[in-house]
Amino acid sequence: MRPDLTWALQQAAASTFEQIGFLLPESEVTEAQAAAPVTASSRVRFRGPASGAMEIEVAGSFLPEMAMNMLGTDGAAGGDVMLDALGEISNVICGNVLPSLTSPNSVYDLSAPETSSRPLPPCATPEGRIARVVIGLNDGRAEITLRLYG
Amino acid sequence: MAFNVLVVDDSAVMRAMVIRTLKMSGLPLGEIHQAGDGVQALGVLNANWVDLALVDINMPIMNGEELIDRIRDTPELRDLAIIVVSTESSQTRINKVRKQGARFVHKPFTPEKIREQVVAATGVSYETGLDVGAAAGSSFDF
Repeated sequence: MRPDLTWALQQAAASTFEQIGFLLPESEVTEAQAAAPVTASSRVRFRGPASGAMEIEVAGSFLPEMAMNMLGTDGAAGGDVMLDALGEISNVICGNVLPSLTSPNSVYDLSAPETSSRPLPPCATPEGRIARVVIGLNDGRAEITLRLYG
Repeated sequence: MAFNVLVVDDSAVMRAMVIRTLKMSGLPLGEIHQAGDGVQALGVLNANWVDLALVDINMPIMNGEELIDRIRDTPELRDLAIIVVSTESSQTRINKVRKQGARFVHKPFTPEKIREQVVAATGVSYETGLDVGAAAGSSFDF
């Protein structure tokens, strides 16, 4: 684990959830937030001077509220809209943390977010994990992992 | 004068956020077109008069950089005002976009940043519905 990347990931995730999702991130996770089941996930792969992925799993019931906040509308968000919202959140977090991985001039290509209403499948190479943060959000949490391939 | 706008982003939620921000910015809007990638965007541009395009970089099928290249290579489109709205943080790529004659807004963005770049890109000044003084002191970002 790289402490500088953990800090950068924490900052990028907190500001993105706050500024785009209009949620209030908490650095401390309560027992109830920690126990909430995972409801959706997203993975953004990146390729450049380093290759890997940023993965996010969200737990709790805040995803519909976040999607409505992003759209600026009332009412119920469909499943596709909620996953699109989570995908965009993961895209923004990834784009903002990558300059900390190598250098501000490094050029990375990002994949389209791969979203799912399930947890991410277990990774075959857990040793590639270089940063991981967990932040509290309403009645749940977001677990964000930065992983390098190879 | 009302501006016809094209918003290009593979996320429908982000397109909705950009359009909402444009409406809040006070820009006199005419037709609002949307596209999910560069190929769709070229189709819209070939079939409609568009004054301003807001374009993401990372998109499937045809990304924003290639889209801008294609626009600049097309005589009928080459003078189109373009603002790139992206999570891109690489100064190298941002400089390239600027050399292509596009302006840049980083995600997350504020309505004020969008409005500032729209004014610069279109060369027009317009009345805004925003209370700029109040908004500047808030954390109202997208």
